[in-house]
Amino acid sequence: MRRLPAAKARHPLVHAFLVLLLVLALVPLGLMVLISLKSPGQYMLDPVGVTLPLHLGNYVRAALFLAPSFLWTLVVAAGGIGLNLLTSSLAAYGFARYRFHGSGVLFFSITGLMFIPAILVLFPLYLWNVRLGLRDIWGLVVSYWILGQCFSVFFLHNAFRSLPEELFEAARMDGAGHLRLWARIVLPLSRSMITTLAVMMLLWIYTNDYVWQYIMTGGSARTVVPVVLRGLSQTGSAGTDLDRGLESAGYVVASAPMLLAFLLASRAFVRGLMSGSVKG
Amino acid sequence: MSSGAWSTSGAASGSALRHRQARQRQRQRRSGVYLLVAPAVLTLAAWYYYPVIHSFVMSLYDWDGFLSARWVALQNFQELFTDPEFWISLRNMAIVLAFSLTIPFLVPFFAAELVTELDSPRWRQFYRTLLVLPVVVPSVIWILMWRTIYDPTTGALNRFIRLLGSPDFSFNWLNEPSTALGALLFIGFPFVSSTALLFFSAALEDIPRDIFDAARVDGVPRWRRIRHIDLPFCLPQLRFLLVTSFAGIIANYTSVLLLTQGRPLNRTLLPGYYLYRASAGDQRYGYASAVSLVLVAFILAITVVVQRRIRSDAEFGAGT
Repeated sequence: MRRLPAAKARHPLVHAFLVLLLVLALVPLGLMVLISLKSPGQYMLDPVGVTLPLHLGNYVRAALFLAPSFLWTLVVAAGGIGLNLLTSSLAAYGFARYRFHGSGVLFFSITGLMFIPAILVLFPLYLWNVRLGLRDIWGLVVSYWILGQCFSVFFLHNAFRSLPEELFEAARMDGAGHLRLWARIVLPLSRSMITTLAVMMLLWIYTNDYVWQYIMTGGSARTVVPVVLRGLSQTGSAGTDLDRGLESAGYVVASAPMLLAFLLASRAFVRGLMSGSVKG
Repeated sequence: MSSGAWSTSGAASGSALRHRQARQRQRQRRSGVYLLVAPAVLTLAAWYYYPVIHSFVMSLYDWDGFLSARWVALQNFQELFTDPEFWISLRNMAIVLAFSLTIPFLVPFFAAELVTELDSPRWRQFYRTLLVLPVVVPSVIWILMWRTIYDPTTGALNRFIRLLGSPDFSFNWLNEPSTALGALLFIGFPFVSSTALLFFSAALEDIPRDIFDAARVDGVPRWRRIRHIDLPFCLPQLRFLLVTSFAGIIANYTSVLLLTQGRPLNRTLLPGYYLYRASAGDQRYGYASAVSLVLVAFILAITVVVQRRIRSDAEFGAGT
């Protein structure tokens, strides 16, 4: 017993290490905020320190520049995730609650695609979308809907399997069909898993899928936030010179929604992150 | 999918009739299942299987992606395996893998150790949340911010080194053959913000407290406790993370696309970017199909081997 308090004395050191890690991890974000308040001239003279006056106007210009792509991102996320949850939950319900001829093969033909990194087959998919006339935003909606099914079906299948069979039996006695079972039992009882899945997909779309979004919408006027961020440095008021202030203000504006959402709903995000790393 | 199709008439009275009706309903329900899975199966068949299999067939052609296609048999593969740049990209990939499968897992493990060391759940929560926070910032922003940091004249890194004592220091980290790949890998610094931190910290918290206390009372040195207690407890998580991140690491070339495009001297040329260049740059889609076929085969082979290893490890009880 006597040694336990001695162990506690190490806490200041532990805190010190953790704070150091935290500071190092957040340096680029801090720098981003500092630079976002500078005019190009201020940046040339002092790129890292605090410079006065603060150029809050950078934020107005950056927000105006990003506004359309924010809307398109919303369209892509809502459309892609919504359609995905619809068809994935129907299929996952079928696979989780029934065994039928070919169910094993069909299930693997969907979920097995998780093992192939989508990034290696992007160009065939891109060419196909172009052939079908699905350009820019609509190509993204369709691809998040359809390609996301590999993981969603797998994830929801696990969730739906754990529901008690008695509920289904009782409802079937009352003559409920598949659609009613799906809408009245499966969906309401799996709400938290479905939320987790939606958060995961949102994180994927907003933070992690730049290459595909760039291939699909790169040259187009309708594009999503991650893609338009690179264009921000080319719109500087100082002609060909980079306007790092404007650029960084854009980064702050673009990261703010997710950071806020994370701080407000960190539990849902943590769950989404931990289930999301299954994705290749 | 008409749910009304099997709503009962209600008029059934005899038990035999009811039985027959129930059986009929079951049969209907079974065929209804196909309608449930049909949207997912058919959309994937049309939007994934068809174009991907088609493109794999096109790896035997000289193909511009649309109309003109000329049969070349295995020439694309032959060209790929004799292209020195492809081998360079594989060598670079080996460096990236060696780094990305170690440091970004070791640092979160030690951070999780530190967090678990704290007694107060509130402090643990505080550090864990803030340390993982950067994960929700788009990766493009990290990459572009690091471009700003690496800037030879105004970047924070060179300014920092100038402050340390060489006032004329100006080094183009992303453009020097010796540092370019390292600079790209360094973009995750300090490599603590990842889901691995969450996994390790959850695993460490699951270790029964009395084991820690017993070790403490017995005077077991910390590093031995970590080696013999903590690490085995985290091993399943570590394996899972390594297997699932492997394919992602090979496929990730965002920073190359944004910052170096394979330069300088091919030092940052990765297989993924090699594939990108063959498709988007040269429009040689037949050749690109051959590249992606080889890479997919490579990744699947490694995944199978690793998973089999893990399964046999688990059977022989490598844990503890």
